[in-house]
Amino acid sequence: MRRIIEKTVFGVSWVSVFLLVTALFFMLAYLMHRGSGVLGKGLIFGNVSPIDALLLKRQVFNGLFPAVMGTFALVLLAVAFAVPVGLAAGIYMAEYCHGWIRQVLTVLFDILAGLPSIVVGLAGFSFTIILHRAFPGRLGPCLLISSLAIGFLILPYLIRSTQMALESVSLSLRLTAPALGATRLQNIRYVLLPTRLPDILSGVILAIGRAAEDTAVIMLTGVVASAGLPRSIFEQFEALPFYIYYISSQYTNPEELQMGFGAAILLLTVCAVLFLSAFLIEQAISWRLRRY
Amino acid sequence: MQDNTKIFTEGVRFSYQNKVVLEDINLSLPENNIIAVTGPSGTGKSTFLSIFNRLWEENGGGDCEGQVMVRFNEKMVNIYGTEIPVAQLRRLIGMVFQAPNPLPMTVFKNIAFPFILQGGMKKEEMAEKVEIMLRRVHLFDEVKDRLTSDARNLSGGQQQRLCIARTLISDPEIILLDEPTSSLDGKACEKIEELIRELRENCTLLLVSHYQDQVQRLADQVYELENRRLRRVS
Repeated sequence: MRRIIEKTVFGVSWVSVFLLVTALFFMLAYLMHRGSGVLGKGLIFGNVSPIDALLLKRQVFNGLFPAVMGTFALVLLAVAFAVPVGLAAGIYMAEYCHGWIRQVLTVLFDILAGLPSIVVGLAGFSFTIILHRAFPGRLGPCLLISSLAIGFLILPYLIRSTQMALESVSLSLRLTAPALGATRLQNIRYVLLPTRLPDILSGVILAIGRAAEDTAVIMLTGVVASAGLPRSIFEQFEALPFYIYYISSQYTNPEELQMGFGAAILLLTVCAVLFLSAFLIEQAISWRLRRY
Repeated sequence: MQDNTKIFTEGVRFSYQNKVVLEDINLSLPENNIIAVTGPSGTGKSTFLSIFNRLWEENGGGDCEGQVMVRFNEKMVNIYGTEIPVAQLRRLIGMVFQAPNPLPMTVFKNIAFPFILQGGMKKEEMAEKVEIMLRRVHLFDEVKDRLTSDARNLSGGQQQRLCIARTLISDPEIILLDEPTSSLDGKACEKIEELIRELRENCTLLLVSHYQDQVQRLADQVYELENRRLRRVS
């Protein structure tokens, strides 16, 4: 009987993984099938030379270059806002927070993680209105507000992943540095963070993916269909997820829809570049932490 | 209390989450001795050791009552008082854990770690002391070409000797050994025992072990922990 149960569990697990990988493969294959026809420098740069576009000599009006750069800027700013706060809060939860305060904060962060993005977008929109009233003519929906709202959206992922990573350090390793005279901060700096850095980075990667794909928040806080490259963080911007949403709901001919699929492939590429960058940064930090 | 008393405890009672783990611990332990504590698993032997370097405080939920005095520089010091900071106490009372616990860094930095924590020491001076310690634990020849490799890649026995070297580099006066050979094979175990005997010349060692033959080979005094109390056996 036990053998049958073991084989059944193995079979169900294997089939689940197989189905998941197959679904992923088909999704990517379908995206490539529908979007590969428009892939090329024309999709990104339109009729402008890539060099001119990259050197900001000429504006790109009929390509996705502003949306690609807008997505990069949005994700990088959101991560730059959220990572320090998320790591600090995660460290606090794992190492300093005890008793009932910890229980209350855990519930609060869980609620925050479950908050629908449209609610965060609405909060960001309300914040924009308040700022607009306080600084009339100067502040409105813009890249900064969108980044802050997205940063707020991804915070719980960063807090939970950092907290869980630090809490998973074995008791024997956790006590090693204090037994040698290390303070709590030294233990975090020299032992706990370097040991769990890959797990913490997994949380950052998850957060990057979440930041890159969200549309509801940016729709209410600063993204527009056609804005060109933002000259500062106080300007409106374009972003790939919004372009995909916009084009797939408003397309007038099959070519426009194909552009949407092409944009989806570009968005996946942007995410891959960001993930790779996060991995390289993790390697560099690990090396530095171990070198001191 | 005699002139050569290194550790003195009176009426020590330790409880964890309101459950009494140790009580009525009265000891007067001489310096440069190996004092072994035996007893069944789960009776609080490791907790007993953690009283002397206050390591139990890192976990929270514990409470230690009574007097714990240690002689430093010819003066008895209450280790739970304000006379000695915890970080300094833990450098003077080193600890070797049950399983080798190298830190996620190179062999060199593992041993130099106490100096890195204190800061201010030149790398050349650090290197000199690291080499002395590696020679003292008979590990230098085995790792001299691997000082910049990850310490976690050493064998179990080498890792445990590295941990002992890391403890010794702070020049401790007391070393707490929490079943230091339980995860090692026979040959590695012999090397560690040989080292423990050598350390007695300069240190007082508190050894927790459930290997009776090891206790017989090494210990000057043997105590048994049973029903929350310590009883001298020999």
